Amino acid sequence: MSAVGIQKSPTGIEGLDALTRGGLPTGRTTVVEGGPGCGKTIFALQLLIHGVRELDEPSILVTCEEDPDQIRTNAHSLGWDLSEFTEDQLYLIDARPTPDVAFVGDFDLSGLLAILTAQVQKMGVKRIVFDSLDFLLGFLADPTAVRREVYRLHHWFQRQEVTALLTMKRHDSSGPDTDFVRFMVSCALALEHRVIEGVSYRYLRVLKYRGSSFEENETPLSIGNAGLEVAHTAVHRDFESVSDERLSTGVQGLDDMLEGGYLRETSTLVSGDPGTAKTSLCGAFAQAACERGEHTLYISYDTRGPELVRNLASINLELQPHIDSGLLRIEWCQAFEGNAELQLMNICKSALEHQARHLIIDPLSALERGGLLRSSIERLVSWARSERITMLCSSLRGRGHQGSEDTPIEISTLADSWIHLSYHEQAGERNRGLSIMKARGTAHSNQVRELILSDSGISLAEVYQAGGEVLMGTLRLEKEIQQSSDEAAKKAEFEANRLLLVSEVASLKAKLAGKTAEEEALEKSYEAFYQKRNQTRRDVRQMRGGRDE
Amino acid sequence: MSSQLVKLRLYVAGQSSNSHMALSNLKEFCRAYLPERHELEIIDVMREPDRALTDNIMLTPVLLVLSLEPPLRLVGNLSRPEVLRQALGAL
Repeated sequence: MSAVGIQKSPTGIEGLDALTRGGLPTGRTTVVEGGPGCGKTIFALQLLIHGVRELDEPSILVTCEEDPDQIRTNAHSLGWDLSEFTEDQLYLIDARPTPDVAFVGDFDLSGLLAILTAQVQKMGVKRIVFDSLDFLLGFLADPTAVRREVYRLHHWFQRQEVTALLTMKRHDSSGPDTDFVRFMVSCALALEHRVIEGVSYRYLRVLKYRGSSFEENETPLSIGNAGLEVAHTAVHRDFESVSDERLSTGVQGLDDMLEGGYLRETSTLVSGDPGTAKTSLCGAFAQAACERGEHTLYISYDTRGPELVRNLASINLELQPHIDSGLLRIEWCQAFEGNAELQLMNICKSALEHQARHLIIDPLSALERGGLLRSSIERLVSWARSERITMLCSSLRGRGHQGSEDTPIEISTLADSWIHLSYHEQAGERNRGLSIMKARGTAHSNQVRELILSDSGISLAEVYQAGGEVLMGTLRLEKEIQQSSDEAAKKAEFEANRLLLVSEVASLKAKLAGKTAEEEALEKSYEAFYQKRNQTRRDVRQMRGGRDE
Repeated sequence: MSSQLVKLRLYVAGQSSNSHMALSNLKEFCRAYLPERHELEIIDVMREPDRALTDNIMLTPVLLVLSLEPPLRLVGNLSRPEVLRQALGAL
């Protein structure tokens, strides 16, 4: 059979259809196995309901374990009303042996298959589920009979060309040996439920898929209000166009440090101890984003929306108008609700629903209580990038690591940029420091700045280095004052020198004027003298009777 | 044993080996223990799947002892006649 020609039937479980690149193999058999409470029956129901409702594919559910009424009730609790379907659309067959039955010798499943054959022809069935196969086989006397009946089923499925799903409990020593079922079917899936340190984790794994490529790793799974959800967010592979647009952080000084702001479609982490103004930076970014007219989703853990808005208003960040205009959506989440995977899935869904271009999670570390894993963050980061969403996450600094700037579960290594906020205690006061630990694609300043919150907003101040120590707060101000008074003194000195010279020039000018007058007077007196002398000479000559020459 | 007529109904699935064995085992049993006082109806679920559905015949072969109240339902090829004898002991 050619791998190219394989057709797939969507399950309606979005993440799973992405994971298997289309769904279960059409006209072939799939087995889904797992321990009790893993969601096998829900998986089965979802497959059938999606087929009937969305694709108009008549379906049969063969229940071998649970009462059909029980199944209807369970389906109802997930929002699926099975009574909306006619018997021609969805047919439930109760294949449980009646309790009064006695077994006398070997038997087989021919009766059931005869019924199903007739039903498949009558309804034009496309999908069929056996829930659960091991229960049905459990009545058989020996392993040989089990094997024979599985082959009988397999042959039947091949002839019918329906898309079949068999659910099966994880094999243990007590149940029938069904390992070989996995080898026989076209596709095998495993559901897993583990509890680690009180946190529940669910996973789905594709064990095999004949004729198709598939994702081999375990993928987180959750049972939500509307059935199973697989946390496989389709990541678009198109990363060719990379934005180099800078988005304002909402803080002028920080924009300057980052050559204009955060890069669009990247993820930034803001880490720091409680009270170091992580939320203020988140708020500033939200405001700046909304002022550009872009939809923003703000996930706030522990602080309710109105409280957050009020708190941020105290540092001149006005978010309420943006909430009113619909640009900003603040969602209040409580970290202890459900596991981290489920919460991240809901966050992603919300972001898409809101058509958010910016996603703020404050703080992401709150999800640790729900068992946040590195792989979940990796998925979140790559999902955000593929959806062209710019993300800003805050995170509490890991405890017990005084002095080091590590953040839990290495969020920092996954984010494109990392800003760390810290407290600096000096001269009896605590001041907030901001440093850029990492900024991909940016020749960032690596100097620590002082972060100042005031009722006019957030600002950054240059800090002073003194004896290898940075100065902040009052010490910085004193240094600033000291430096500015030095300048004044110098300026006065210059002025004094200048004035001295000016007066000197003036006195010299006056002197010069005096001397010039003197000179003129001298010249005049000399002329008078000369004239007088000539006159005297002429007079003398005349007196002597001489002639003029 | 009384002389009451025993009504039996055997559901078989075509010519499958278990069905075939059940029929021959039952016939032998009737000859030995219920001569001249049994009535046997045979239903082939391959030919009458709707009947199998209404009568809830999922596993085959099945023997229904209709004379008992409630009717006794025996699943299997009836390879152990002693079980059958014990079950029909009341009749």
